[in-house]
Amino acid sequence: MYMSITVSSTDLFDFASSLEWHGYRRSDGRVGIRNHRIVLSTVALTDRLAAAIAATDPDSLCIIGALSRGLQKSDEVMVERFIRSVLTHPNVGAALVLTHDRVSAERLAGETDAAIPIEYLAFMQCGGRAQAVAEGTEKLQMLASRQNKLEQRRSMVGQDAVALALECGGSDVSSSICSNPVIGDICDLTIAAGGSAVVSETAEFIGAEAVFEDRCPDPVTRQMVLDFISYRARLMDQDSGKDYRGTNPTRENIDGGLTTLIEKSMGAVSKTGTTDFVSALEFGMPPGAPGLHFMDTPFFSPVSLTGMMMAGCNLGLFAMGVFNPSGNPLCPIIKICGNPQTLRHWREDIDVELDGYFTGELDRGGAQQTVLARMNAVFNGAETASETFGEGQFMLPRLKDAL
Amino acid sequence: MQLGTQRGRRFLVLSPADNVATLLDEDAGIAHLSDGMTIADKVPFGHKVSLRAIAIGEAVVKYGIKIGVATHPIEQGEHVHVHNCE
Repeated sequence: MYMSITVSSTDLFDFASSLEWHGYRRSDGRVGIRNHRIVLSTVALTDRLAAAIAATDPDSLCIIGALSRGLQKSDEVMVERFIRSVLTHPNVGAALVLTHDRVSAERLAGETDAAIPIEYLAFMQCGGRAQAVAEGTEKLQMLASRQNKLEQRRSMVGQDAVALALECGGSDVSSSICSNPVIGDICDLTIAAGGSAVVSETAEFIGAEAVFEDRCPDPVTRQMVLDFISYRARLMDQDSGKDYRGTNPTRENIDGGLTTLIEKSMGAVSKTGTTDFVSALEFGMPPGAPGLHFMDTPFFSPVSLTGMMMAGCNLGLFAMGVFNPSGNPLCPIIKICGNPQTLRHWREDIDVELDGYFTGELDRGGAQQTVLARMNAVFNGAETASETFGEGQFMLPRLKDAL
Repeated sequence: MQLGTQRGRRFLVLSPADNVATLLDEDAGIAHLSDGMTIADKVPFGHKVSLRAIAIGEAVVKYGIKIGVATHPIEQGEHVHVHNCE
């Protein structure tokens, strides 16, 4: 049972200043909140062998993105960006990189500026499946001992090490007036502390253009965000043959109490808090500075979470209305839910319960502290529900036909 | 930010600049908010009521953002929705 306590924003700052943050400081200055030893499959051809090798080491994390070949340039760039971003992700402590051919392994080794121990294995160089798994297993053991020698361990860092991915899924009234606005408060707090945050799923912001006109002081950023939104709106209109702005809010939205399209979009916007946007990013690009950033992604949450992981986000806050199992294996995602029915059925999949907001047992200040306390615990090593269940995927957006 | 207590309908004002409140409970038969303000009855969960009179053409503000304008004069406590706001 939650205590009904009134907390002003000053109290939130006081509470935040009482928290300690412990992370893995990498040699490039970035901070991880996990220290995964990963087995990275760089092409779909190596997925099965990657899984077989990772299965020999219970402490490893297998990263499989069903990555394709024979792609047009823009998609090929995306695959390369994915591989590079995983190998430089702050939550990765060591990596075994699996390729099909030797040339790919050599090229990747040449391109990657390793801040962590990395080993490469090209399967075409191996003498059969059994030998490939044996070699991979041996390299994984080598990586573990190199990690031990390096004494990778947590040390005290500042709250500025928090790099948030902001997401919502299964959105409903509870997320639009409870979970998302509270996430927005935590986003404001994080940015005030010198941290960063990325928000994505461009289509959710159709109708809320006025917000970005107000909150993007840099004219280039402002124009990029508006262009991203109008591009997605055009795609949706072309695909459905209907005018999105003319057909939203839908009948169902109106029955739920939403009067205008901007009111509907504000549910999603509110998770970004009130600070200005510093930059607009293409899919999977890392931000160049702290602060709040907008990333253009499709609206399917496994894809947008992949994009924000690629941006180097080390932790995610996810507002769940009705059930949505999305997560990301590399970037722990904290599920926050205020819908009492979702909580009754899916409680073990949810990290923060905010249903007290609707029963009158929890006010906004109490909700802020509940989220911040869980965020701090997860940062310092507590497992999220989606980590426990191994939820989450790596999915890249589809840009063009393969060759 | 205000949150209602036991008496009257529970409601939420998302930003201090807002001129509407969102109802947090299903008690559509009750015609006042938990802070005592009289409101229309039968306003469903998740819908909005005005916190003060809003003139035709005036902004309806929720989340601290203009979400629409009044298309009819709106009295304090009235249900604010597609019939008087767009």
